[in-house]
Amino acid sequence: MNLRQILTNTLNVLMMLFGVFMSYKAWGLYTNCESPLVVVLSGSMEPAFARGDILFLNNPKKPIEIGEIPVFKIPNRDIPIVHRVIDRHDSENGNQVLLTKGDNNDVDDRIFIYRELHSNRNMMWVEPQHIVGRVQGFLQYLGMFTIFMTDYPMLKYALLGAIALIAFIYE
Amino acid sequence: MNNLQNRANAVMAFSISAIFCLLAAIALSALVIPASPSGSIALDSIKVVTGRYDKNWVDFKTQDNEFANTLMQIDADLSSLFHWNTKQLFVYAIAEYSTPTHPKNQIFLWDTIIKSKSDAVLRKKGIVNKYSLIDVNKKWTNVHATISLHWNVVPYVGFMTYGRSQASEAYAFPLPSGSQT
Repeated sequence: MNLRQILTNTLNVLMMLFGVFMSYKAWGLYTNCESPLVVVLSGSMEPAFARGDILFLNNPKKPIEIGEIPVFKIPNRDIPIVHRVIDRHDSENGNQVLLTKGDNNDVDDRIFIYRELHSNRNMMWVEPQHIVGRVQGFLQYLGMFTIFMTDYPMLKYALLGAIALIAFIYE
Repeated sequence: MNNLQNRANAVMAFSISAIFCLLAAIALSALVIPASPSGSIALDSIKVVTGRYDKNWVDFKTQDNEFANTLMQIDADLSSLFHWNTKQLFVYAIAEYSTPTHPKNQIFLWDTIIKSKSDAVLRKKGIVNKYSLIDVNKKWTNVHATISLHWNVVPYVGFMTYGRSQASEAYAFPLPSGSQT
């Protein structure tokens, strides 16, 4: 295998990776959503969504309806939450306040999620600026791949290594 | 080059695209399968009491917050929403009203999850509201609310879809009669 071939193969692998990345970002632009795919990590929305399911999101400008399932980020909390809207109040100037609850939880999110951190101890509502997406579609199981890869980082490197190896051996 | 590697690759690639085409077809089919769900809902009574804590012990700081307690009845047949791509129905009853500060308000009164066609006929009376019924302004003075039954069809694969019954007549909230015990 000469240098020219190695460079061509490297370029091909990079093209593939960047192609996937670019399509993902283009899809994000289309849906107005920074990450239009999320993987469910907890069982709080069971039996609708289980750990490892993939959710397809968008984030249109129109107000959120009751019963919809937004993905929101509480200030100072890293992991976004996917729960159902159980109260909405739209004020005259179009501002919304929302209350959410996981289908599988006994109580709404105020005490254990919004106010979990001391800095949010008076938080009563989720507001549109907390919302990063709204669930539109659903695909089971496939997200287990990414869960395995985050749980066992070696798997991720092994997979990347395998892709690179195949690209080089397999002309 | 008909070696084992090439054949395995071709079989894998073909089966993956076949599976995704099939999933897409199933997802789209759910949008066109006809269904005729029906539902009606009515309130039997509303009572308003004042208090400091809601049902989940969230502290509203003062004693004079107005919480409503309702009794309602539901009569619905949602069995036609079950087809090969229906994983579950999430059924919820809401109250809808407007106030001078907030033109549109919707609050959950009750909800249930239905996982099979045989459970999709609801005939229930005397349902107590499962969630605290408190307005964002914490008062019910001069508020008239309609109630309605909504459902969210959660598929095995594909799109989340929503539906609703017609709204009931408007019910007036009475003045507070007593306080929480």
